[in-house]
Amino acid sequence: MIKIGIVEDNVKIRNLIQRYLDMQKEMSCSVAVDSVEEMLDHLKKFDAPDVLLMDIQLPGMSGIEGIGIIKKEYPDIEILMLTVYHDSHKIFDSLVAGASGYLLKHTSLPEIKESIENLVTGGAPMSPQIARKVIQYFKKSEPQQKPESNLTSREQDIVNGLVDGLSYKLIADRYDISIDTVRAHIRNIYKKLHVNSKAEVIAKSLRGEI
Amino acid sequence: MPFQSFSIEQGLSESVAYDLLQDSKGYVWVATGYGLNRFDGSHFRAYYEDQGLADNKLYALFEDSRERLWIGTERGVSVLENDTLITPEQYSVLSSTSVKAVFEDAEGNFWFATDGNGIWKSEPGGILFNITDQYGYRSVHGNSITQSPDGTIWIATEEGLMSILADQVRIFRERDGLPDVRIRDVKFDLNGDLWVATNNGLAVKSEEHFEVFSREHGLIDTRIQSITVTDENRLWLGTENGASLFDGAGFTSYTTEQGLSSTIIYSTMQDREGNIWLGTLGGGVNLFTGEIFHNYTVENGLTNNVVTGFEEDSEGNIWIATYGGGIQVYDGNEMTVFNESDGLADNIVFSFLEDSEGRMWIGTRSGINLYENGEIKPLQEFPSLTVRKIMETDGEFWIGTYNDGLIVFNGEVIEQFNNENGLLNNTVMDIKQDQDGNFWIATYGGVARYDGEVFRHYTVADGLPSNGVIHIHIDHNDDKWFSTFNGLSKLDGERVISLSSSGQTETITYFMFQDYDLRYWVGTNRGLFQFIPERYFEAESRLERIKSFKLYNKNQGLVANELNAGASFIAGDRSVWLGTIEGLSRFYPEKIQANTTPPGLEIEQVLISGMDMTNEERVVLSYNQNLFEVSYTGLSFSSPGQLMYEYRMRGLDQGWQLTRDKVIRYPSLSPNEYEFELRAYNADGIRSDKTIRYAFIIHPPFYYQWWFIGLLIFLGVGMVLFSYRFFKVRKQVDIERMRVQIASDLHDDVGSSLTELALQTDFLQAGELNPEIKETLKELGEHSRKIVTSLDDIVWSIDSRNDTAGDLTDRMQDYVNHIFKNGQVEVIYHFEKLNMDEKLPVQIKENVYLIFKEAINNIVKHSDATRIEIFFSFQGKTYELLVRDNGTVKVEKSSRRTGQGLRNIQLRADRIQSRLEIQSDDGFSVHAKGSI
Repeated sequence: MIKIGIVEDNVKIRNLIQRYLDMQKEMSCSVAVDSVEEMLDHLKKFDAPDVLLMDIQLPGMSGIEGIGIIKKEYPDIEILMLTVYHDSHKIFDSLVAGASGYLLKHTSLPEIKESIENLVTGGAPMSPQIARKVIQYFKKSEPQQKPESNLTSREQDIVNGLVDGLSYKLIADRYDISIDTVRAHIRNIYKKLHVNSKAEVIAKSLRGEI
Repeated sequence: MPFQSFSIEQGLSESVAYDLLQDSKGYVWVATGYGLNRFDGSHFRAYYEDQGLADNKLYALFEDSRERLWIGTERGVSVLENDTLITPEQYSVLSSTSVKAVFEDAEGNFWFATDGNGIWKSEPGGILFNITDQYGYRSVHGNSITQSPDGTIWIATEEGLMSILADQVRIFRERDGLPDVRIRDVKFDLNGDLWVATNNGLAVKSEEHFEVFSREHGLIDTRIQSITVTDENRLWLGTENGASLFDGAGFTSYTTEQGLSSTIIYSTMQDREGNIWLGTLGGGVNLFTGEIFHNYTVENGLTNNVVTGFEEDSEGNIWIATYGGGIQVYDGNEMTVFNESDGLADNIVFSFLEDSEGRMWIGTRSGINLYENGEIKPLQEFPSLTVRKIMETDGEFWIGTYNDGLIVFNGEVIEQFNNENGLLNNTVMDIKQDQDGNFWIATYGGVARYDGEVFRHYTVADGLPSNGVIHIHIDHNDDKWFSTFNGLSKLDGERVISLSSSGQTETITYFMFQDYDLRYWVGTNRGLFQFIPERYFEAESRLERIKSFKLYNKNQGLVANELNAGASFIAGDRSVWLGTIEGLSRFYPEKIQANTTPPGLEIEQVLISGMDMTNEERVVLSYNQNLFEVSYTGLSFSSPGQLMYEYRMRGLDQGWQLTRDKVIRYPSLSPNEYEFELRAYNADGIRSDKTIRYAFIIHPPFYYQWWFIGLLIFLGVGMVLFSYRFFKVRKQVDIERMRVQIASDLHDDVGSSLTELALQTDFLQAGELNPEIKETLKELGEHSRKIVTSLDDIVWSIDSRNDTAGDLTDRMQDYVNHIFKNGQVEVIYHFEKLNMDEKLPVQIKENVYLIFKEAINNIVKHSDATRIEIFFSFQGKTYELLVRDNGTVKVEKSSRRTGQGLRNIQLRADRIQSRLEIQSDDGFSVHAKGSI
């Protein structure tokens, strides 16, 4: 049973997704709120869900901010961003903040369900746009980075493949690995993004910039 | 008196003038027994040991070819150069002796005559040596040095006349024909004759002997101290008993009787204007400007100094009327006096008339006397009249009186005109008759013209400067001139015009006359003016008008500046008799020579805001140094008081200004480049050779300077540009913000609603439903999502954060990934030439993406392609998109849907003026190229 939470300020969309997911046998969506603050209240009182669907644009604290706070307190929660538009900048910022992937809101309900399942089983979506930003990100912060937070050569290959527009399958074929391995690598890349961003935050806080 | 005297009272440092000199600038220098004096015509400036003189007792002056002034003193020589006195080191050997003369010869050698220590010579670049010692003449006392055209140096010494030529030295003594060995001065005249001033007469060298002039030739005294050769080749001799002028034939003597201030003359000098300067022992300096006036006062025979009128009788005697001293008759040698004790009605006498019968009419304060056959008789008819004027015409006597009007008398009939029968005033000062026989009557009520029947009056209403008319002159052209209490005037038609050089408006004119040369002269309370009507009436400037009057007053020898009403008379010998309040002057107009020597002109001091900048060049001042003050002096000694100056300040937009002042101030000059220009005119209107120029620059304060103004302009332009750019950027930022705003609005409202709709259909489909309804719901959902996707494209393209090439290619890849599921088609991207961070114009980004999207859609719908190649490049201004597949199915252009897609591509391409090529023969390809 996958426990799912939703943070979405559009009541209709929130209800639709919640009702649909709740209808699924292997899923339960007991919490659907319209702000990060409410979710944080909820998390204090109840068990944390496995997966959180979260809108970026929210009243009060933004979704991206919320990711950081939630992942800090509850690192095990996988967060999928919900967005109406394919705004790669915000999506990337979310990933850096700790999100594990994103969904367009108009993605059909069955597809949402599928994405959640993929995520739980280890899959992580990464579009070429995101991949390119990933490369830029690691390139930019290379000098001051610790070796362990750098992308491995395989991860680099996978990201490059994504940038070239290769599908997971083509990447798997090209490097003679399974699609699951590709997914695992991509998850790892997300983590490193997240780690780096945390390191950056710490460094910034040490420097007194925050 | 023909001599003006300048001594201690006038500022001379001492009254003994040993030597005189006029320098090349025009200053007159006086070497006195105590101090050196520079004279500019009105002021003396003194130099003493404190200023660098070797000694205060001076003997000699000399100006060398370099315009340095040498001063021989009791203890050596001093040199004045650029107003600084020094004693040159190489001449210090002279400092133990008196230097009586300094001379520079034609070769540039300097000669010094000492008093008992011989004659010294220094050659250019050589040392000073005693040349008389060298030739064996010991203890020579030199007095004067000159050089003849053949190069011989002639030296006046107490031991004889010395001549030196090359190595030939000779001394002329008594045995050579000289009257005395004590030689005081030696000069060459304009004929080249050598004149020698001895202690016992004047000698002129003739071949090998000397011709001597002594008392018996008329020389006033034989002890001659100084000789000056005038430009008329006459000799002025300074003796120990006055001055003598030798004209080649005889001597004219001048002593204290002629006005010399002292009888012992030590030095003589002629200035550039021809004036003679005499330096005396105890009387300072005397200046002789020419003897155009010969004066008589109570001191030399007049009974009274107030002289009111003249007449010349048929025997050539001059009758002189005085105000209180009766009558004096001058026969050329002696004065004969007639007064009340001789039967004169009053000792106050105004006028004379010798009538056609040879009787002398005498107009007094108390009636008329007739002088006939040596007797003075009263004219009984007019016992109480104060007679101002008597005129005879056609047997009638016209008599002008004070207070009793005009009386016409023919011996019997008396007709009286006064303010009751035609005159405007009862004081009649003058009566004249013109060529038409009209009478012109000067009264204190204007001028009256009487044609025998009616009076026509001319008063201030007709332009007369004053109704107080003193004298009428009718000239050779029958023009009428009126002398009034407020200046001269002339009748012009029926109007009277006032003639005054401005600044002389308060001049009282007492009379006008014309001399034998028809020159006009005007007697005033300020002296005698020569008036040149042509110059006056043709004058175009104030200067020319002023120049039409030339003044002669006490400086030129007139006995007094205040003349008397009507007191002028032209005698048969062409001399003019002038009555003044201090005696009479006999005036010789033909002796007047115009002074054609240009006056000197020198700057005395330039003060700028109190700083002495006289000798500064290229004067640059700051804006607050703006008070310019210059003092100067014109150098003319004939009539220094009549020097006129003309000045202007270039840079001030000002024409020439006239002044008689010798100081000019310009307060608060504004910043500019200036040049002060000044020139002088002497009394004859001759302009100075020199125009003084003094240039200076007043810089503006920094806030007016070009660099500051430039800076301001620069800043201003900078501000404008900055603002422009700032607002342009602001505007751009605003546009971008608006784009983002539109994007998020679309997102929030439309996008959310459509998403809701789509999700709603999904939800409904999940339930148990009629398949038809399900299908409809599905279509509805797809449609919604399609709209959301389109909106997504629009939002993406207008969102300014997505403007880079990388954003575009990302978007393309996303779309391809979205359309082709994994492995379905091989997609190859050629983005190698692309700089992913380069910004694309919104138009290009949007339309290229839409073209691309349509192309992909076409491939998906109609092609069996397994491979797609996508090429995109953007280089600065040009872009290129190529989408190509390897499909074999021919795309039917005619098909409705395809046609729509291709038309969309064409539409997009047109929007960005792109050259489009669509090919579907060998695979399908879309090729768009263009530039911004």
